[in-house]
Amino acid sequence: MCSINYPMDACQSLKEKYDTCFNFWFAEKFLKGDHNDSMCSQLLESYKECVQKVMKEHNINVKEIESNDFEIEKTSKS
Amino acid sequence: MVKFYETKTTFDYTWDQVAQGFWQRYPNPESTHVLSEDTVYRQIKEGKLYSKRLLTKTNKLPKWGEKFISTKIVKILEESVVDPKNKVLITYTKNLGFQSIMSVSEKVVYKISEENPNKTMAIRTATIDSQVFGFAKAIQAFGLERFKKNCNKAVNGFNFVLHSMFPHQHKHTDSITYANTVTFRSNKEKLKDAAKKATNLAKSKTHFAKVENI
Repeated sequence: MCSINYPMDACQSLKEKYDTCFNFWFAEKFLKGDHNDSMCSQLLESYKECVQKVMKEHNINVKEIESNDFEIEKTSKS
Repeated sequence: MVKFYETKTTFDYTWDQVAQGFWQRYPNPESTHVLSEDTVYRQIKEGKLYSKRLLTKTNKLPKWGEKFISTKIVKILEESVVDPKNKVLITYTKNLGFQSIMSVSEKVVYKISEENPNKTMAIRTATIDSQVFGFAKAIQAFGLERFKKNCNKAVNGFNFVLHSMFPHQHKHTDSITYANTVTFRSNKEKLKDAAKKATNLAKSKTHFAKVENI
């Protein structure tokens, strides 16, 4: 396994744009009951694409990360 | 051979505020070891928001620890589920890689405080495991101690962020946080610089992770 350093720098501007959109959406829409997430979906796609590309370049195993499995679901009984 | 640790924290903010702050925890003055955080998965299922974020952190180890792990950077996978209806946020984090040497997983449940609906309770459960023959106990004890220390840091860092996001309702946080706010604002650039330096240093020192077989 190859260690990674700070490769996500390459995606920084996409990340910032998406995060800004997401934080607004989360506070103003999602928490208020509006579950339509199309508002930031385009930004999320380009950002995720960038991150995935960098992860592949750095040999980061993306299987566990991208899978639909959530460990929470297995552990949360509380 | 699993060590277990549980702790409860009350945040002086509403659940909605804590949930918002959760996504904006980094950077904060206590999180200089966090190098990056990236969203890698996000989906709404049955009214709940499922996310996965990949975090990279610098990993300071004692000398004997370097025997087992030579890399200075660890990757952390953070899963979270936000249930806005019942106002419950559950997060689950674990290290990726080196799991047989030391695996630390942490689950935090954030919900409305039973005593005060304007406050939020966080119940943190950690599991620390090691399978290194002959060293497991020492590694676990080390992991546990470090976890406890980091716990306080995480809470302080989170409170710092909450205070800068929602200053109006701030009542009686300790003066240290106030002092930090001022310093942090003016030092934000310096902090970024420091993080970059740390990264470059790590870059020059990091090589392929060697794990000794025992």
